[in-house]
Amino acid sequence: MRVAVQPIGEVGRRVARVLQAEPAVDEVVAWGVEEAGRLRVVERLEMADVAVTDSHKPRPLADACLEGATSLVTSLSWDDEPVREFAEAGLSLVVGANIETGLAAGLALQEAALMDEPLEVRLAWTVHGKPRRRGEPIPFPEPVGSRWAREVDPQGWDSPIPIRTFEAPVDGGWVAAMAQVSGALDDGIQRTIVGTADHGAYLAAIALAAAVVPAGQHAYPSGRSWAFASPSAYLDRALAAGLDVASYHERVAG
Amino acid sequence: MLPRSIPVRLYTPLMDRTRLSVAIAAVAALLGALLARKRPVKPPEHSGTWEPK
Repeated sequence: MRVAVQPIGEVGRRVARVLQAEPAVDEVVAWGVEEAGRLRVVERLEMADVAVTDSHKPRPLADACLEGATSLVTSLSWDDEPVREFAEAGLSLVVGANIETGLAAGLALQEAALMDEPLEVRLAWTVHGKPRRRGEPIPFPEPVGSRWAREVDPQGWDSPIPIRTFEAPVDGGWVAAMAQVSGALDDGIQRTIVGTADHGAYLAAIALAAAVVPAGQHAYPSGRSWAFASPSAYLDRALAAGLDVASYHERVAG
Repeated sequence: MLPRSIPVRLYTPLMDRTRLSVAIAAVAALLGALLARKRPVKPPEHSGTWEPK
């Protein structure tokens, strides 16, 4: 598999390094930049199976992907996504490969798949900002630890399981994500909490790079998909790239 | 009309400044006490532990 990276910032440069260590990736090239260290810079994408970018304006790369018959992975979703063009070309457009709609949602779906009757999903992640002093208390793994969060609208969630999403502003370089899944048991409610916390750019690069190999191996259908749409394949690559997942064990009183 | 027997207190500018200083100090102390009681950025610890999965 050949991958083209459009590295805009530190996350993009880290993505290139993560993909260079991927056994399924034969070559990583750079697109849309004048120089990229040891990476060969290409102007056209015909030779690439998948392209990936941390750009907030990925439309030029999307157009190049359509010309070169290349699938595309982006960290965000954006306004003028060429959804129909990718579907008609039989290519995958994977959006939201980030900590929220990638790692947190992927962890939730994987845990929900282990339950007979999942009842509710709660996702939470950190954003950069002034820490709150009230709201919803969220247990993130250390070094972020428990934080106050505010509820936000969920993005892209098309599972029938009800969902609530929260974001907790934190300052500093650490970020975290958490997924809590509740399910029905014969004698009560089962609750599973899993999460991850790490350096911001490191975790963002893993979240973005993890969708690339699944996209190249057709784990995502043609057309537009959210990164969490193929949770097992996505999390497998994230774990191989160094994602550390922790599970939360609640103490039972008495 | 006020009866002549009621005493009239005279306030000098010096007395006004003293009272103003006392009032400002009291308000500052009250604000300081309120800020000291501000809620923490970390909620009370949950009753559980994180372990590698």
